[in-house]
Amino acid sequence: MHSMGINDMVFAGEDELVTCSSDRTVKRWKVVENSSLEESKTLDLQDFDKDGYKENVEKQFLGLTYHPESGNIYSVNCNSDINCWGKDSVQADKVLRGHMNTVSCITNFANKFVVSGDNDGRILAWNTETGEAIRPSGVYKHKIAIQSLCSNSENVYSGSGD
Amino acid sequence: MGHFKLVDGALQSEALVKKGSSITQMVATDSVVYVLYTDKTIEMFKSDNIETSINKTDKL
Repeated sequence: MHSMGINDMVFAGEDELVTCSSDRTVKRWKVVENSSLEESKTLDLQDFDKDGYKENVEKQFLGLTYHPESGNIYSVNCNSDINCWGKDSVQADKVLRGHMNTVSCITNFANKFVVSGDNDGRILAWNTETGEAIRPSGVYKHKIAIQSLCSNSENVYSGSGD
Repeated sequence: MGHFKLVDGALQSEALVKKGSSITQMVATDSVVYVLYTDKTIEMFKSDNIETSINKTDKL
């Protein structure tokens, strides 16, 4: 169980649900036969607390997405990092850095990219193989924070308060 | 609301459209996009045209 509010959830395959929370953890849940949930793993960023600011609000998780091809989970938190967690990891395998402000949402796109949006209204697409950040071409920036991102097989949509 | 498309392996902005209210959540299928606004309405757009509304609810 999370000790604070849950900010996002996503299905990871057929029998797993992943949640992220303001309690600074991401949790994986197995969906068991009788449709109840069993906590299987807790992922957190404690090993990244080199400066001793474990309780910092920046470690609150705001959103996450699942990348089916690799089985990786990508999560975002208030400190502008994107953390990539492997299927069996309990610590982040990779940290993607490129945003300058809190990353508010993230979505998988075409199994090739994850797309993230931040509180400055900026969108970045990340190549899931190389970890390289790609800025979309054309007019891509919202005036204020991006609240939501979603995608289908060919398009990505961003929603904001502007 | 922004709309982006994959063109030659890169993301390209198709449209950035001002809506009447702030967006709080969205869901997309291959044919439509559902948008939930902070004023408690839901609006539906075609996935290839976010400028023209297909349907909009009253306040829920």
